Amino acid sequence: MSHEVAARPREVPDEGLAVPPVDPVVLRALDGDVDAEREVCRRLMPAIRAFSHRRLRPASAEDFAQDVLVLLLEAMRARRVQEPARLASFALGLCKNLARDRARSSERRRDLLQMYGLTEDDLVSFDALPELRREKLEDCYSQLADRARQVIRATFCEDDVDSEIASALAMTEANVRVVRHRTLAVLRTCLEGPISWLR
Amino acid sequence: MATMSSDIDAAIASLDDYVRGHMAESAANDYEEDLFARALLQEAPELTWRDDLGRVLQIMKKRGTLSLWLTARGVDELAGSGLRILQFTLDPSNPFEPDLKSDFDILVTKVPIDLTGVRRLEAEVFSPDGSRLLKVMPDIPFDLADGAVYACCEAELARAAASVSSLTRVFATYDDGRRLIGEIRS
Repeated sequence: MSHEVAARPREVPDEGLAVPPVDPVVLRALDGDVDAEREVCRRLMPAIRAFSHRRLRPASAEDFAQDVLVLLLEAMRARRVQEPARLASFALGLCKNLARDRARSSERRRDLLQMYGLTEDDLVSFDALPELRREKLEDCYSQLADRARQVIRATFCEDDVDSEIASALAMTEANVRVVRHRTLAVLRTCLEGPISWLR
Repeated sequence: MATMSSDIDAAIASLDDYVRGHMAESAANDYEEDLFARALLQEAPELTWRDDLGRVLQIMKKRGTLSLWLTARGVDELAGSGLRILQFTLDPSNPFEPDLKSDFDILVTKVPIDLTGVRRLEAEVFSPDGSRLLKVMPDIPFDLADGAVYACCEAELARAAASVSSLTRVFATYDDGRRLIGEIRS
């Protein structure tokens, strides 16, 4: 069955942006190819997480990301994605709308999962496993100075906001930002190389 | 190559500004539109990099292995977490190897050190002949009362490391300067 234009989803505002190229995997997903659908979810998941970390309380970010994924699956399966080339915008529109009315959607999610024969484990499995190996990160993380380690830990593990990190470490918020940027660059460079003691 | 590195680092910094709220709302709206589009096209390497980093850090935190070096209290907490801990005390006068074939999750190596007067500790890992510096581990956490520091290592990493020789030098900073206080050959 080929993809046909369906009714424009009410969730998606017309952003009036240039139309990006259509990836074949998007067309396959919209034609009901389950593997392609999974691939679309895998690609968008990090962006949805980034969105939720900016817009929501960190504690609810993962839950939010799963809600968006199930809504996206619902829209694709119900043929409500009007323009394949705008699938990314469509997903972002879902994020914005869901963030706007964050009335608990767990019941809705359960109903939709039931309707489409999915489970929450399916949603988790749409997420790609991290490619980053733990032992490499351990090696690189252990080479950071204490302050850099604390900034990274507070940012990614404690979900502290920058004002809290600044206060805890007796720094300014601007310094926290600079330390994090520098440390991320150091980690990226380190993670690209072999484990230090195998050099 | 330098440009490629700076490009990806700049992209990582921009993403950090977006996620952490340092980007103005008007710029963030445009940014996230572009970010989603690039994510779908698999053209946002900074996004997958940060996402992986955050997820692996969370896994390490949950396992209690975020810090390679622990205090005795940290070791107790790790042991109470349900992970199988293989503890081993480094004794240069009576060297023996821990049983890495046994069933364990984390190897904890106790390194006895006189910490009297120590303000700061760091370790440098060298090639076996001491000629090549492989790694510097600054700001090792310690508790003066422990009389030791504890190195914590995932089982798979410990097994991989067992086949590689190295020389680790531990330096302490006192009020009057920095001195070598121990060497560990493995």
